[in-house]
Amino acid sequence: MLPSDERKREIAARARERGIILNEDHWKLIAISYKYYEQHHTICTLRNLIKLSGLEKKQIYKLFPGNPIGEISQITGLPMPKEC
Amino acid sequence: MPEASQKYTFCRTLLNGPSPSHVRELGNSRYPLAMYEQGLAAGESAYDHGGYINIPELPSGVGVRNSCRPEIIEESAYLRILQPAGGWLSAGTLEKLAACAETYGKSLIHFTSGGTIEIYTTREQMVPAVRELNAAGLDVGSTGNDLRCLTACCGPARCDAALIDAPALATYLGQRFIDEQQYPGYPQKVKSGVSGCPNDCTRAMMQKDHSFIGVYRDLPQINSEALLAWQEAGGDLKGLLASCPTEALVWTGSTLAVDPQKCWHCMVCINLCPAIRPGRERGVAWVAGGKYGHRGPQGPMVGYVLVPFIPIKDNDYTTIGDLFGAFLELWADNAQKKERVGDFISRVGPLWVIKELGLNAVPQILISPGRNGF
Amino acid sequence: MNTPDLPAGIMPDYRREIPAGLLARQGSWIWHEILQPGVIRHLAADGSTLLTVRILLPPNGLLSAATLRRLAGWIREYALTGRRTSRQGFEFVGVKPEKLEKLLAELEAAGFPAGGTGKSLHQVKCCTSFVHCQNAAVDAPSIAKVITDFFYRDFLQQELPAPLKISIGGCPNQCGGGVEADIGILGWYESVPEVDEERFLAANIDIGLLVSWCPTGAILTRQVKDGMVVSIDADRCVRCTSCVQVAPEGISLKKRSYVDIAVGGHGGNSYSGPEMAAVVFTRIPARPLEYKAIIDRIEAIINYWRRSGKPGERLAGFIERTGWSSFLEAIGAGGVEEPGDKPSLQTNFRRDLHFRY
Repeated sequence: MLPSDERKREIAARARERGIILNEDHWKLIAISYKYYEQHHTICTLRNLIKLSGLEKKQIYKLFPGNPIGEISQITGLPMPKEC
Repeated sequence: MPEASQKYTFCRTLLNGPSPSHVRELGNSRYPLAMYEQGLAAGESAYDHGGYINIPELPSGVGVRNSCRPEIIEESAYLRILQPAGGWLSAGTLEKLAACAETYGKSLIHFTSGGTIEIYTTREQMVPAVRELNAAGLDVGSTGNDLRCLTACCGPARCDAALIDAPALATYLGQRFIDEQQYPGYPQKVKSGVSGCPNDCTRAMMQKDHSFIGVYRDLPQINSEALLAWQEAGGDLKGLLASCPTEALVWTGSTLAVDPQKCWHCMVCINLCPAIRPGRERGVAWVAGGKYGHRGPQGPMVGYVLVPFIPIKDNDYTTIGDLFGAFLELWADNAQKKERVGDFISRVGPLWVIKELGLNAVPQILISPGRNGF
Repeated sequence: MNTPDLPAGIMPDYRREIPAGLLARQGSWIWHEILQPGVIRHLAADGSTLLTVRILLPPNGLLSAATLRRLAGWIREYALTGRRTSRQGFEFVGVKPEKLEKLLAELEAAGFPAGGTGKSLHQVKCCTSFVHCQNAAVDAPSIAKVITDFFYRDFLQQELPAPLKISIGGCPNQCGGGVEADIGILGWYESVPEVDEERFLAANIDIGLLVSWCPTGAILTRQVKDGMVVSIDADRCVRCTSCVQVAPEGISLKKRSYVDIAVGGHGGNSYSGPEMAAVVFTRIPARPLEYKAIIDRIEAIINYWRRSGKPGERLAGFIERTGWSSFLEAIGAGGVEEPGDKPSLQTNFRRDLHFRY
């Protein structure tokens, strides 16, 4: 279920609306998130994102400021994380 | 009292009675009292589940409640402020909090049961509010799947029972792990607390995923002269002897002694008699897994002792910080999504955790050896 | 997007909240005594003293900015510094002895009386409930207010057998700590959460988390034409509401609620070590402000303990001495519901600090 080119354009547009211009690292994280969801039927935690991407936590927070998992879900349409 | 609260039947009733009223405080702020009245009248909260907030500058310390009554308030956002350890709040800090709540919030402050401070505000006001808090030496954090605010008892600045400097240890850990408090990245929240002695006034062993509790390893120290003075002033020696849960206090007819085989190093005699003071060989017991909530397979539970005694020398907390950090990594790597520390340890077993951390399992952590061979 | 310069990474240092003179006396305290309800005097080895005044705050630590400024004003006028207690109360530390009476009078006039020390009812701790929370089944602050009003004398006096701590949590999350107190009040939803399949399908829900977070495996998934839906096995459900947290759009509660009353919770490692409270009354109605059923039962518990407890005996110790059966009979508790099955704790591991070396 990795995004098609058309989906990618949608994703990029939604990211732009949220003030994020997607670069290679963003796409890497998005791809990991999709793949993880496909395999586990639950969205990837930040912890797993760090492990699977090899990026550091703060780098991920720079790429998707504020709430990386939430932003990835907002942009890609994956289920939103729930906090309490 | 502003008239607003007078027109609400339920809220008005809560203004009565001799004890201080939260409705009076709400009424003296810009809190939308209609929301509370609505909840009381309907018997269910007027706030709603969900609500997504993303403040790029603030990965943690911010939250939002959805509203079931958008005509009263569309949503209610809040900032969660890290409390200085031990609950200490000077006049200056209280005034700064008040100013911040007046300027950027609803003129309301909330001391949460978890030990933090909340200001109800709006999304737009959050960043300027936090800049002002920063200027006052305060900061936000402690929301989401992060290391929650480290709490402590009042410590030796005020307490005679404090075996260790609990707020100092909490502050050390808080400073060292500030990124974990401000950038959520764990499978679930993890709360931590430090208590200065086994009296555990903050109930850290029960409420917090991690607690470090001040303990002593040698025996309570008895000052015979002071004991005599205490008795002469009406101290109840018989009651004191009877109070010891392990019958470790031995009275020879002229002197009092502690049986080293029996004493289990609690605080009962120390709490009762000024002539008995805690031992001098001090450190912390590390307890992990406490929680109040009914979520997760275990429900509410008291934590497990992982290490009964970690010595503290010269206020050096590095070893404790190293262990704390190592545990958090181990838990984060192995816990299931949303699995609190208590459920995690119950699932994998305390011995597995101790082994993975490269620690020795000392006999004191067991009540008895295992009762089955699996 | 520019890289934000926040968060600032400040863990506040508690030492800034304490005047240097007091901080310098850190560790010098050797004993304390309660002079009168709400007033504690700490003694140092050199004979010097430190006065603390503990006051009652409104339930849930909710304070207007104006009240916060008053607290600050009292500190400036009468004391060295202040602290919020772990039970959502407040203390003035380093009160000037010559101004003690004046402070106490002002506090009383302002409606924040001193008390809640020693053998009294301490500040009732509770969660925020309907004031600012979506999870709450019952409203803890108003229950706290009504309880504090009813037992107000016991806050001002020290005539109970031992300290009495009451905590109230409005939902199974128990942020208010109802599970830990001498008397705990625990809010519950009566019904099992219900799934609205249409809304569930429309909502894009994290089904993996929904299934894995359920502590009893009560969430059953089913593939339908438009995707995956779930149903909830009512026999397994323990009403922890985790599923509502994950899928508020598709899973909801009929908001009928009640409280359980639990007794004998205690922290600290004196005697038997920290222990959660045990539920003695269940399914007590708790519609806002109709709290007579709760008050009556708490009164029965307190009165029995007041009558028959030995001096210094906390509620848990009292029950241990008298035995559960006679305690339950004396307070008029009927059959107590069987607790649901749960995987057992690792029971041979220590969960107190009773170490022998």
